[in-house]
Amino acid sequence: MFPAYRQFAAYVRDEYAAHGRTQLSITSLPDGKRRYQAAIYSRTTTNLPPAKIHQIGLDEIKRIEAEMTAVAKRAGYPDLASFRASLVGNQKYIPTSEEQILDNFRKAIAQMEPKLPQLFTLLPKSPVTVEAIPAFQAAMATHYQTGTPDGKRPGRVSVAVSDFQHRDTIKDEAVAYHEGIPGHHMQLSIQQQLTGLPSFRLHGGNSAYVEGWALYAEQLGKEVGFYQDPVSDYGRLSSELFRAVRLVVDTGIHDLGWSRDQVVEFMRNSHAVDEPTIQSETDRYIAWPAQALSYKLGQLKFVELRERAKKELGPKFDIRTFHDEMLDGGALPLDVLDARTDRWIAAQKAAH
Amino acid sequence: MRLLHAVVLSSGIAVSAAAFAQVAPVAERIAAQNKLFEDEFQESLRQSPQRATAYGDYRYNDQLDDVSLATSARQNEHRKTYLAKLDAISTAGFPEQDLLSHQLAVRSLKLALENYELKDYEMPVDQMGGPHTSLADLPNAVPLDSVKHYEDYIARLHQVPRVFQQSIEAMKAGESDHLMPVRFLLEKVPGQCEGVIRANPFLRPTQ
Repeated sequence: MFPAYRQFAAYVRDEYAAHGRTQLSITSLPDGKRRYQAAIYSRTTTNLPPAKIHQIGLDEIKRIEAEMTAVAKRAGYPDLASFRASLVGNQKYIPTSEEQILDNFRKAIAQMEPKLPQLFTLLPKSPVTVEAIPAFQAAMATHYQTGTPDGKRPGRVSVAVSDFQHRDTIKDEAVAYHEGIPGHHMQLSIQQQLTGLPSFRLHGGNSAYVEGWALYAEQLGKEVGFYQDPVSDYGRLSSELFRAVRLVVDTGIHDLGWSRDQVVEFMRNSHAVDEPTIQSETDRYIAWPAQALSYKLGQLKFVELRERAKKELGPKFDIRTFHDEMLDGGALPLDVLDARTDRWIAAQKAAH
Repeated sequence: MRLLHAVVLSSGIAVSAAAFAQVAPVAERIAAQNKLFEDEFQESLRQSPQRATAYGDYRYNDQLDDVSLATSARQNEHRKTYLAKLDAISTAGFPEQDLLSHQLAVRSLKLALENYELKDYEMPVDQMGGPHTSLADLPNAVPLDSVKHYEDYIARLHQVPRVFQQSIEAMKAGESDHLMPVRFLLEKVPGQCEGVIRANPFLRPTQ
């Protein structure tokens, strides 16, 4: 097996890599423009043109920064910059052990669980556990892995804890809702347990729906009274800001021909993530065109549908049945979800 | 536009078949559609033993996915057949979920047909992943609760060289089609391979 690994490494090193393209944009490949648009469709289920996505990103950054400024003022700072400065290297938000990070996740998930009936009538039937990513996979980011549909193997939130002294706990609460409940575990375990649907609809799905839901789920914690520490609330907004930045830089690279340095510079100025993350993320966007667009575009669709339902239904709007409707068709393309929500709104109007 | 031609051809077949299917009652057509979905789902598990394992179906646990160009081409031909069969089922009068299932399946097949034409499968590796990382994840991805599970795991390890060979074949096709990932990112891959060799995750199930 290792000779096969070495042979593969040698082929990449001695032959293949030398023929690698030097331009970052996927549009430099044959059929380039079509290739990027096809990637956008595969990842986001929308046909939005790159220029439009870029602008949505810039607008979202402006909106989120205004919300951050309000949080900074609530925390007693004159502006966002001074609030941010107070957080740099702040010992209060540096974990003292791996276990402390895991505890933050467990605590957030445990406090969310009894609140779910305020947000849903459909509830996940399988359990979720929190565990550390093992040392030999230390390069991996925090992620969720599905359990089995019968609940015998629980869904697992695997948390990055290595080198904990160089991490901070500011986003822990938001990430716990994203990966666990009401995010990935909620959506994916409900999907696995849907009845009366063909098997192919119980598994997987498009990234805009799945990641959009998880990002939308982060804000649900706010609605049931969590993120009480303003710094944790700032963490939630940073997480959202990070996804808005991705709209700008992915289209920057693949549509506007940005250099790697331009991307790094833009990300630094956004203050959304730390330096090591900026470096690895930039390479990720180069390698996976359009993948990083799915989070924000998906979340905006859930927000839009909720606003629409609320406006159309007025006092008849029930957040619990709305959320049920978002989840009980499985992972749908966004336009299909949109049309299905319109039918649901019409049915709700007729029923009352 | 070889692909477009094929799609036009298959929907040509579909029109006459659909006209015929029109006479069948709704319940019969839904049953036919559900049978087609289930047959194709089973076929997709056979074609991707690693996905089957991830879904908790352990029937193909002794096999790794076949990622050869010939198999990709065969799978693409199979998609066209599946799409034609689906097109032949009229959805007139279908309730919401059955109609939705039909539309979702058609859409994902058309998307896969278009993506096949773009030949993304000729770029199976970069710093984000490739055979070298997915194979290294095998010990985490398989169940190891019985002697049979260990035997299946060992059978899969024997297929690792084959998967690398098939990946190299696809990458060479990419070189001649000028479908190449970015150079400085590819240069990170040999180091990642050496990292896997050093960590040797494959023996973890014995530790």
